[in-house]
Amino acid sequence: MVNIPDLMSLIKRNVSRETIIEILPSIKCSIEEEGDDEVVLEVTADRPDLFSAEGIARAIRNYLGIGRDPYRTYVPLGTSNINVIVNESVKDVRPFIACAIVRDVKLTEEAIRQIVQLQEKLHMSYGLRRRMASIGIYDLDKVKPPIYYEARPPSEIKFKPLDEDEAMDGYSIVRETSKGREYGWIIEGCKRYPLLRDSTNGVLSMPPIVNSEDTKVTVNTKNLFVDITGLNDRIINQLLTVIAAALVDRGGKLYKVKVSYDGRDVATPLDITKVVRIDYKKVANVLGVRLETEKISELLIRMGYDLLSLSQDALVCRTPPYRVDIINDVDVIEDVAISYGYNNFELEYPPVLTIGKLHEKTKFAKKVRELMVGLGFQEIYTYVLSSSSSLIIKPAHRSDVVKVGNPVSSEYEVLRNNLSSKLLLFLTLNKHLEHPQRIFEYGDVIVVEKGRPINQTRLAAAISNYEVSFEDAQSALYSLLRSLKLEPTLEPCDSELYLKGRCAYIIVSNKNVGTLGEVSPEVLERLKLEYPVVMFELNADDVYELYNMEVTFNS
Amino acid sequence: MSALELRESELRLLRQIAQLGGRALVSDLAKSMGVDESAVHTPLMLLKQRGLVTVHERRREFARCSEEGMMCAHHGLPEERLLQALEISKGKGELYEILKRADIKDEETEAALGWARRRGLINILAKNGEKILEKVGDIREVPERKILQEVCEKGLMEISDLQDEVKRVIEVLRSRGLLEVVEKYERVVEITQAGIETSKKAKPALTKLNADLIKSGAWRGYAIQPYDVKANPPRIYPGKKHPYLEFLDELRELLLAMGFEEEVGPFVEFEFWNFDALFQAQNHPAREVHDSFYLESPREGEIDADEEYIECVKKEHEHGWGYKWDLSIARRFVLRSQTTAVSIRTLHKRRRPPIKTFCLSKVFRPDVVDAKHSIEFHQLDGIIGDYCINFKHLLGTLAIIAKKLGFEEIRFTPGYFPFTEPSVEGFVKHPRLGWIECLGAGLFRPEVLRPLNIDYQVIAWGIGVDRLAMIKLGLNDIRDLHTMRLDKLRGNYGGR
Repeated sequence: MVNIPDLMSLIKRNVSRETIIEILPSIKCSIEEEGDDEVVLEVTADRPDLFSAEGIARAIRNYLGIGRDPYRTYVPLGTSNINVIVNESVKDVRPFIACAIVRDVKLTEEAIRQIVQLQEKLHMSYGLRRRMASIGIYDLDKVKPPIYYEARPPSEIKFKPLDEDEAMDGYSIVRETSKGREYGWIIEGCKRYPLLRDSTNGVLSMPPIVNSEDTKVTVNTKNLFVDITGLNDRIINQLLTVIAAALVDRGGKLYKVKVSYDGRDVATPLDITKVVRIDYKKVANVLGVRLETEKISELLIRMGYDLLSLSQDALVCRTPPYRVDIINDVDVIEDVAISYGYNNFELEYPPVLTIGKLHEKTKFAKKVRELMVGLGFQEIYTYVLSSSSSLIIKPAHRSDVVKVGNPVSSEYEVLRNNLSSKLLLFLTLNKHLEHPQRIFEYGDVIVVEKGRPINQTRLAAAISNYEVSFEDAQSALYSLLRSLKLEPTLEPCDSELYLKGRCAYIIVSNKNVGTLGEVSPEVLERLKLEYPVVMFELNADDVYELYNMEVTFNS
Repeated sequence: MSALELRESELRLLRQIAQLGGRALVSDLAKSMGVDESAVHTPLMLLKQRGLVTVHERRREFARCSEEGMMCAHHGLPEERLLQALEISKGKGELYEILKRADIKDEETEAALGWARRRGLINILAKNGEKILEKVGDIREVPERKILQEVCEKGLMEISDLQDEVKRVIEVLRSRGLLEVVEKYERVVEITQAGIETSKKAKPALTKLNADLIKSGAWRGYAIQPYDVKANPPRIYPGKKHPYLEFLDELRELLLAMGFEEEVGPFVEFEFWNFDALFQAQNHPAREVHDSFYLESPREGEIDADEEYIECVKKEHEHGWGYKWDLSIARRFVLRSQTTAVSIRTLHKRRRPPIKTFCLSKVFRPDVVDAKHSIEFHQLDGIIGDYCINFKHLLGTLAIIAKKLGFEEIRFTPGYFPFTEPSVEGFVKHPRLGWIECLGAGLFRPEVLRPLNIDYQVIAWGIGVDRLAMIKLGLNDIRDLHTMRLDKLRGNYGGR
C-alpha cells in the first residue's frame, strides 16, 4: 500500500496522479485497489525494491527521466568508523550479518510506515518468515559502538523488548511477547539465542525476534543503524541494498560498516551490482525488433542502469545497486522491453507450420463420453481431491491411497482411487430429485504403481431408480463395449460394494477391465440412499489399449 | 366425444344396466358384475358425462330404537307401567310409593306422569301435604308400544314406506327419545335413450395400439381413444455432456486449429519437474506449504529423467541462485501446481524444433475454498519453440487466442515467472466485467533450456481457464464447475 501524496513528494517533480496510475502497471506494479490517497499494489516477487513507496517512486523517476545520475545516488559515500564484531558463537544459530549506517534521514509517519512495510514484506518473502533473513533498524544515536553480534544463553539475555514495559529474559521474550510467539520457533531449539548489543551492553535486538525499546526509531530519529542477520550471506546482502536504497530516498546518506568475523573483515553493504554485456543481435533475436544503440542505452538508463561502454555490436552496463533479480543478459533485455513498452510491440503470429493433433487419450475419451450420453447417461465431473471417508471402496493396502501432507480440510485430504465412490456420493446428494437417475464420470484416479502415484483413467456409470436390475447396468456396458468393437463377458466375483451373487468382473480378451454389480443394501443404508443402484467401473486405459489393438488389427 | 368411442369396460357396464331393466341401484349393479361399488364409480361418471345414463342420489330414512326405546319395547312405556302399578294398589295410592312400585326412574317420572295425564288416565290430588294418584281411565296398551316393538324387531324400519298415521307415531317416539331416525344415501342409475342405443351399437375403444392388434387387424374392432394433447407429459431427462468439459473440448479444438499438438502429464509430479526443471529455486516461496500440496504417502520417488540432465539442472540452480541444490527435495512428490510441468517434460522428450504443443489439464494449489477460489482448477499451457521465434510472436499468439475466445482487446504488462524472461501478464477486455487478468507468458530462460541443449527460443504461455469458463457459462460460483447438483446439470446450467 502506498500513499499518493507521499509518492509524489518522493518523485520530487510535479507529476499528475493520472500519470502515476498509468505508469505503475508497466513497471511491474499492478493496481489492486485505488482509494483517494491510498493505492494498494501487487508487485511481482522478483522486485523487492518495489515493495515500498521509495522504490516505486524511484522507478517512476527513472522512467520519466527525472533527476541526474540515478545510479550513483545509491552507492555508499564511504565507510563509517562504526564496527560490528561477530562472535563465533553465532555460527550454529544465525551465522551471517550485514550492516549499514544511514545519516541525516528525514522520517515522517508515512516514511516509517513504508519502511516497516518494506521490512515486513522482505521478511515474509525472501526472509522465509524471518528464518532465512531478518532486518533490524535502530536509532544510531542511542547506540554506543562498537556493536557486538553474539549468541548468549537465553537466561543471560535481559532487555526491554519493543512495546513492552519491563525488561525480560530470553525465555520470557520467546514465550510471552507477541513477536516471540510468532517467530520463536526459529530459535526455540537453540541453546543460545542471537543477540546484538553495544559496547555498554545495551541490547539492540534479539534477532530474528524483536528489537529493544531503547533503540526505537521515531520521527525525530536522524541517524540509523541497520542490520540484517540470517542463514544465507548472499540473501542478507541483497536485501540490505534494498533497505539502504529506500533510506537514501528518505534523504539519508549511506555509509558502510566494517563487519569483523573471526579473522575476516567485510565492509557492508556489499556492491551486488553486475556488469552485463548486451549484444544488440541478441536483443533483436529475443524481442524481434531491431533497436539502435542509442535507443537501447536510453531505454536502459530509464530503468536505472549505468552505461559503461558502447561498441559496434554490444554495450556494457552496470545493474542498479538495489536490483537483486538480475542473473544474466536476458533479465536486462526484459528491462529493455519494459522500457520500450510491452504494448508498443507489433503483434506477429509465429511463422511455424505444424499440424495440430489431439492426444490419443483425448480422442478416445470423446468417443466413450459420446456413447455414454447416447445411452442416456448424464455426465458429471467431480473433484480429484476427496475425503478419505467418502472413498467407500477400500484399497488393498492402506498406503495405496495417496494422502496429501498439507490438506486445506479433511474434505480434500486424499486423491480419489476410484470413481464409483464419487458417483454414489453424487446420488446421495441428489436422492430427492426425480428418478431414474443415470450418471457417469470419465476421468482420472490416482493409483500407486511400484511406489509411484500414477494417473489411471476410469469410466464409471450408475443407474438409480425405484427398481433397477443388474441387467440395466449390464446392457449399458455391453452396448458401450460392443460399440468399441469389444466383446465382454462377466465372471462372478465378491466385493464389499456389491451384493453377493450380483457382482462380476468385466472381462475383455481375457483381461479384467473392471467390475459391475448391484450395490449392496448395507452400502445404500450407510449412505442413506433409498433407491437401489446398479453400476460399473472400467479401467479406460485398458479398454483403450484393447480397442486400439482391435482397430489396428482390423485395418 | 362421440358416444361410439367407449372403452370396453364402459361399454360392458352400460350393457349391464340395460340388462337390469335400465334402472338399478349402483350397489346392486356392482354386485351383479361381481365387483366392488368403488370400481364402477369412474366409468359410471364417464357414461353420465356422455349422457348415456343418469344417476340420482336417493335419500332414505330409517327408524331405529334408542337404548331407552329398546327397554320400553320390552317392559312397556313409563305411563303403562304407572297404570299397572295403580291397578295393583286398587286404583289409588301415594305418588312416590306408586312410582317406586312401577319401577319408574327419576328421569322417567316426568314423562310417565305427563303422558298418563295427557291421555286422561290419572288424576293427581293433594291431601294433607301428600300427593295422591288416582286412576281415572283404562287402557291395556298405548298404540306407540306396538310400533316400538316392531322397530325393535326389524332393527331398521324405512319410514317413507309407512302410512301417515304410523309416521306421526314415529315422530312422537322420536321426540320422546325412544326412536332415532337415521339417513342413508343410495345412488340409482338409469339408462337414457341414447344409452340404450349406444349399448346396442357401440364398439369398444382402445388406449394403446399394439403389434398384435395391427398384425391381426383386430384394431378395426376398436375405436381408438383420442388423447388430451394439451396435457403435460411425464418429464424425462436426456443424457448430456458436462458443460464445463464441453467448454474444455472447445478450447482443445481452438488449439488444434492453430496447429498445436496435445500433450498430457501426471497429476502427481516430482518437485523436479514441477519446480527444479523450471529454474524455481528450492527456497522459492512458491515451494512452501501454502502454495503447493505435498504428499504424506508416498513421499518421494525415483525421478524419471536422465542423470546428466538432473546434473545440469543442479548446476544452473547453484550458479544462478547461489545455494546448495538438494536432490532429495527434487525427488519429493507434489500435486502438479502448474501445467508448465508438462511443457518442460515435452521439451525434454522432443527437443527438436519446431515444437508446438499444448496441455489442458488440472492443477492443484492450496487456497480457501469459496465462490472465487478453488484448490483444483484447469490450466491451458502452450509452448512454441523454433529458431525464428521471439517476443513479438508470443504477444501475437496470445492476441489470437484471446480473439478466438471472443475478446477483441488484449493488453500486456510485465510479469514475473522464475522460468521465463521476459515475462508477460495478459489482460483481456470483457464488455461487462472490464479487464480480466487471465494470461501468464514469457520466453523460457536460458537456465531452463541449457540443460536440455536447446539453443533456440521457446515461448510459453499459460491461461487460467476456470475464470473464462465461468464467464462463458454464466456462473458466479467457481465450485459450480464441479457441481454435485443433478438438477443444475439437467437444467440450463450455463445455458447449455
